[in-house]
Amino acid sequence: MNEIEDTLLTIGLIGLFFTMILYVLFGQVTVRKLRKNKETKDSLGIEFASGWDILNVALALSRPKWLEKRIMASPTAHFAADAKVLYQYTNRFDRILGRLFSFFSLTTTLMLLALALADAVGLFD
Amino acid sequence: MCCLPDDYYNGAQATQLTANTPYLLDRDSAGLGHSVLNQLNGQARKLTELSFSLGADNVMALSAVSAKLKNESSNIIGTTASLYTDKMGNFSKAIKAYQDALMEYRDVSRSQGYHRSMSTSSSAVRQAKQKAIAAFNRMQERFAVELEAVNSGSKAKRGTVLSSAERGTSIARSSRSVAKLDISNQAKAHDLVKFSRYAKGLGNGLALIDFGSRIGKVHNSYLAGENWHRKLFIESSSFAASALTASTIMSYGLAFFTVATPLGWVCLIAVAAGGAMLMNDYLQENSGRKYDSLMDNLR
Repeated sequence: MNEIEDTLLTIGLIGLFFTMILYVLFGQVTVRKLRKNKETKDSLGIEFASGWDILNVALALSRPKWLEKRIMASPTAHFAADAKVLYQYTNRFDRILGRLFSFFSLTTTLMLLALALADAVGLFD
Repeated sequence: MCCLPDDYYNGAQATQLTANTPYLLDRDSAGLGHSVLNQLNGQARKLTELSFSLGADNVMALSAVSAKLKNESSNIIGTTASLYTDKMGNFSKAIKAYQDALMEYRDVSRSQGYHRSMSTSSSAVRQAKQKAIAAFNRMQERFAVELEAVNSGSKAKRGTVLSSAERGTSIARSSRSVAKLDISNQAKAHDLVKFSRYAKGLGNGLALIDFGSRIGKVHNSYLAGENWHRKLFIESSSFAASALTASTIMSYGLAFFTVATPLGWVCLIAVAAGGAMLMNDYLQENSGRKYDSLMDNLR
């Protein structure tokens, strides 16, 4: 097994670990409060499987304004969580936690996926 | 048709080809060909339509993918069911909101002693009516297709509560009983809305099956006296990674792909499922070594 691949895999697994912890943390600290609140209950985006709304909320809280506009104008707008409503009912800590989680989850996923693809293609041999 | 070669065969030597019927091109291709022919005979029409809409190669590819999906990564299949059902859940909510607005209008207009003549209306009654009309319009905007399906069977000339806000508000105002306003029940009885409750269970259930089978593997290794900690590490890391991959691809795929066409959905789901399976396999192979080196370093 290649040295580089080994190191990258270790980094990926550590990232995975932190992502999972942040996922549960964010879900308990922020999304549970949002789910209970009547006004925000229906703006958490589409739930493909249980727990998907946590991902939706985190992504909505970490999107730049231009991306937000793009998504709201697209035909699949109601799949995403409603950022306007969410910004009203969350505080700074919630938003930072959400941004951390979405950063970690995206980088870890992309990194591991790239690693798996590179391995499948045979880049490391 | 004439001049067919001798070997076109379906139950008997064929001298003519009919539409929506499968044929064997070589009668001598033994039992396998015949059993395939028998299986296809019932499905030929569906297959023909599918091939015309998706293209023959895509039908082959799709069937291969869905067979593999059934065997391996069951957690992604649930997402297709959940996707449509979430929209249907919101449809029921919109209907309920409309019904509530109508009932409110009814209460307000009745408490004011409002009769059939529409000569006076206080501002409260006017507001309630506007609210009901707005609720109907919201429902109409977002769920036009579903409403048309629900109303397509109705023969009422003046319209029903669900097909026109005018009819809804006039029934609310002047009808003696509230039976006609209970649209939540009428719509609920409709197949479309029933489907959402059934399919949502399906959506979450498949993820649980995947998770459950992994727990089963760990338990089996415990019972067999093997190193179950290691198995737990492997199973949990591969589950987490494949779930993350699938969810990320689905979320971002929806934001950027056009999912209006049916083929777009198929691509998205196939890519998400493929990614999840790739991650699963990769981590199943490699996280075992990571666990070993971690344990060595800790000792």
